[in-house]
Amino acid sequence: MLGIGIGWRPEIDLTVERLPGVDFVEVIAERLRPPRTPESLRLLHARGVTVIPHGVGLGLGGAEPPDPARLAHLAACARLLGSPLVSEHIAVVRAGGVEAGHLLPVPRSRDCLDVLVENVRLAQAVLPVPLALENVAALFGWPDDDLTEGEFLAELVARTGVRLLVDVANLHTNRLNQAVDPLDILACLPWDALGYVHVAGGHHRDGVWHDTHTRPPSADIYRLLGELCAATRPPGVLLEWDGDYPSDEVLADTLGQIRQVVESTTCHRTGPTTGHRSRPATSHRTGPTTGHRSRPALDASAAPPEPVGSFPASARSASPVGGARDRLAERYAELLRTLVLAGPAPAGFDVERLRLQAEGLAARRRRHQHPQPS
Amino acid sequence: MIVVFWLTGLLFVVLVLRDRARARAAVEAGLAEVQRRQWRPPGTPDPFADVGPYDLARLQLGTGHAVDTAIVTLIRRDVLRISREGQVSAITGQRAPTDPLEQAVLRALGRHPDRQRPAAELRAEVTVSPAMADSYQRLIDSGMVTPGSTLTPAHESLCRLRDLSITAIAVPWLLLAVAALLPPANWTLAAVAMVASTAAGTVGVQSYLEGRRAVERAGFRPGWSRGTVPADRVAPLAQHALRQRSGEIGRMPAASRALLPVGVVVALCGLYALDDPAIMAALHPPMPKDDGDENSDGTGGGGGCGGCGGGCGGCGCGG
Repeated sequence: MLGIGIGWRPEIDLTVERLPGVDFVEVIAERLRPPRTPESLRLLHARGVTVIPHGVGLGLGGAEPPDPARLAHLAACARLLGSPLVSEHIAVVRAGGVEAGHLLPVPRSRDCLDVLVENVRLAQAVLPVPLALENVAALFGWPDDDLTEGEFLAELVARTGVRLLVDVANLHTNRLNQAVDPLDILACLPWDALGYVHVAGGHHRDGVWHDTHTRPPSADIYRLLGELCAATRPPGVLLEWDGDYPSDEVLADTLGQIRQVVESTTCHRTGPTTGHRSRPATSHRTGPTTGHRSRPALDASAAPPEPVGSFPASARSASPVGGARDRLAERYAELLRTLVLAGPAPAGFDVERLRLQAEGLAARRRRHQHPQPS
Repeated sequence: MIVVFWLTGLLFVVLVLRDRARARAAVEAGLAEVQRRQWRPPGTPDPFADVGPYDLARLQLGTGHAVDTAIVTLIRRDVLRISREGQVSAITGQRAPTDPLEQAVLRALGRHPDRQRPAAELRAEVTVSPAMADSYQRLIDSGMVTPGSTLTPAHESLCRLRDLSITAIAVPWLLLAVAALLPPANWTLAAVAMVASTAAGTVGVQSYLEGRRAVERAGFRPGWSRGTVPADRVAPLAQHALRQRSGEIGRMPAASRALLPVGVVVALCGLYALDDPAIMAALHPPMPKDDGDENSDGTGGGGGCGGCGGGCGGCGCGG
């Protein structure tokens, strides 16, 4: 079990070290530079706190195969920190040479699922530990989904054996912004594949809910966490906070509230992390979340990221999903042109939502060079 | 030629004696003013009961230490946070502080979009803030700090006397060297003029050295070249009280020390008294050896100067 955790950020490193009741932390993988380990993470690791690298730039939902250098970096982070698993997002972050600067939702179409499945398998083949994928928050939806989000996630797990990082704040966001019932999604999820859970706060602005990670989780989000815990016992629940940091006391209280919700509503089902039904043949890793108090020492000699494996251009056409990739690439490029380059909105999208998303991306690009976690 | 010797010698004797009298008067007046301004500790158990912690920190280790003390106080009050990399950031949702120096720290942070800045950058900006200038004025008004400018007239008079005295010794000898090339004359008279000028110069140099020693005995260590301004000086009684108070706090058991305001403890005993090496290292990350002594100008503040008890003495209150 991972327990209760918090997102480790350099700005609050001392706070995280000193917060009571932190069982595990998550670090944005793109901020690490193996083989260098921040002093704070070294200390936490030495104290038996599990550290999970959380990627935000792989873009597994994209039309292209995952970038070998980025994958190698994620793998190096996992080795460096002795992590039992790594996590990423089901999102598209770039297309047609344009960087979105944030995590955008993917269409829940057969084409996209096929491409995502192949991307996940490619990533799993390279990563030394299991991969957990997170559902993202979306300001807009794709117009022609074939599957519900629950079905999409369930099928992804069934075909790849990937673990799930369920972000209840993102489910809540999608409930408010897209009228998607999170309970319907939770009802479809294969709980045996649950890696851990994210909780965060946000706020209303311009008529939509923004999952900003800058507020305490709302009562609705705690209720949703309670619903999840009633369905299964999550191996870990992690609080994400990414700006406008409150006092240590508020962070400790929030963690305490999360712990209270988990402990008071947890269904005592069997542990979720072993023997998933359809582990792919390429998987060669052990269960991720057991025995984290007796971890190996930090692998300071972890090699710097090296391209491992390669995905030449020919691989795209040779791939069984080559046609799906092409179709998806075209759709993503059109969307990114709208959101980043002020191109015309593709047919079927909610134009007002795209405008809000474009504004959000522009604001993020001004503040950050890299996308932030969602 | 003899007339020239006589006139030169006479002129130097007169000028040296005049400047000597002026320098003496200026030194006496300056030292009297220093005495008049100086702080006397009140007859209370805590001589610094009426002095704010940041003014104390400035007295103890300079302006940089005053800013560090404010940062640490705000960290302990959950208004600021510092990371291991030394990034100071403002905590959301906290009440604005009322102390001007604390406000200056928050203002300096607020000028940045994410309300966070490296500690060194923050320190550099706040040390020249109006709040710090007010602190300097308070210390001067209370007599804890005597501004070096009090002794500027004495300093200038002494420098003038020194320069003139050296000239009075050197010039007649140069004239003599020139005169040696000329036809013989009454060299006895010339020698008398020369000796008189040299004697006046020697007396002048002696008076200069006496005046300089008097100024230095009063605790000022000015540069003795023209145009420099004597450094400010912490009043001896304030220095003594600082040493005594920091020693008392240093000898306290940790539990008793924890009851004192953190600002006072850090101000008097340095950052070591926090007993938090991570925060100390974050505020003052280790510097590469090649960079030399960062506090040599007396404004750096430093991390602690060996903790309580030993007393660091007053150091550069800066201006």
